[in-house]
Amino acid sequence: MYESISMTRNVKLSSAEVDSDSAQCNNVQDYVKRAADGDVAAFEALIGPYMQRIYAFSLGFCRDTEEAEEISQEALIKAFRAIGSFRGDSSLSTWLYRISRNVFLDRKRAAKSRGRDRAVHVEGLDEIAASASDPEQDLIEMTENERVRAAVLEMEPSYRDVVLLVDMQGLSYREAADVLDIPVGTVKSRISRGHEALRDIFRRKGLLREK
Amino acid sequence: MKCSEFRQLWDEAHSGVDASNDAGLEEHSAACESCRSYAADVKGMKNAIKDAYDVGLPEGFAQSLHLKLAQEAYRAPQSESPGKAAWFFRAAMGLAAAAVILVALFLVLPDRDHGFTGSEQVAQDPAGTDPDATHIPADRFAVVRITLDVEQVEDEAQIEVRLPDGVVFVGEGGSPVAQKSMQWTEPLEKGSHEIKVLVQGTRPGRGVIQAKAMTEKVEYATNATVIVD
Repeated sequence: MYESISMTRNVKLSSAEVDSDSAQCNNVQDYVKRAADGDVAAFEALIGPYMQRIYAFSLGFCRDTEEAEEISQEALIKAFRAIGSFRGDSSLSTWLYRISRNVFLDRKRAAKSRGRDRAVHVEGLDEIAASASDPEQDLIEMTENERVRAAVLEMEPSYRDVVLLVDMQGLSYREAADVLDIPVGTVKSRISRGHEALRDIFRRKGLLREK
Repeated sequence: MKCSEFRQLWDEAHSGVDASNDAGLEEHSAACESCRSYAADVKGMKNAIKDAYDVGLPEGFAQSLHLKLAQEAYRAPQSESPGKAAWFFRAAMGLAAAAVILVALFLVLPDRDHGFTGSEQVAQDPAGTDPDATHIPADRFAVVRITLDVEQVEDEAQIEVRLPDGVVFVGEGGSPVAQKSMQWTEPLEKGSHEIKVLVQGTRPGRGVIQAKAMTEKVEYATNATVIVD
């Protein structure tokens, strides 16, 4: 009797094990290879430590949590399809951020071509309020965190990208430059301008005390 | 130091990058009310941003992603091995009741000449010690790949995949399928055929997924041991 099977194995891997620690490098490569062969559990072990971060990053582009969920899930599925091409030239997290941002940009382009840009540029908190039945009440009901996220959405996208990566995700300038495929010097200048712009928005929205 | 220079250096110093001129920063900050205010504001904004995006995953996020990944693995083609002839996919069918259609993908590699002959019975797990058993976490999805080698071209073969207790087929929406076996008819090329089965473990234990292809004259059979952890 001929009997043959290749299988999807259950793997358990802690976030520490998939960290960029060189001692675990071969282990990570092994998981990447297995994920590229369709091993879902291996892929889940790889992305497990980053799922929340990818979702939070996606939320930085989106007006609502549903869209952020769609973007982050789409990005992770794309990452699964493409994991075989991940060579480790950048960190896995950097690679995932890049895919997430590209998913958002693709959706935005597609939405634009459909003539309805639902992919998020809030032109101001006022715009959110304008669409509400009772703007003042809505503003009152927004939590502090929602108001901060609405302020971030008001930023010019190129500034917002670096602020999200550096201030929210804690990436270094070099890592942010890798994600955005821009020089480190550009990250430096954009973060400074982004902070100035965000400071103005925060002040306008009463999120900072006037001095 | 100019204010613009201070602000860029301050941003760097507070973004995990070494500031090149700490002493200069302190000196400028002590003398410049506007830049002290900038530093305090940016510090506050950074904290606010961290808090604003310190959010948990939405309920069901991981489960939903898990299903999509399993379906993706199930649909994805295998990368072609070197030296193999052209291969193709076939979508197969549902069950007689046709309530749920489970797509089974067949990978056909016509030039493989490993064969299986004779109408043997589907093997049972003989010793319960198969080191190649597929582990399926309880309540999770897994794609099990079963290889069936066929010795000669078969114009029409009845294929059957039967699951053991503790494992169920998964429909396209992620719901379990009540049937314990799937059957369909396919012509088979000579060579090695890979059958992918998307399943879910429901109860811890060990069992054997049986697959067979039957014609009037011959029966090809193989199986795969699965362990639901």
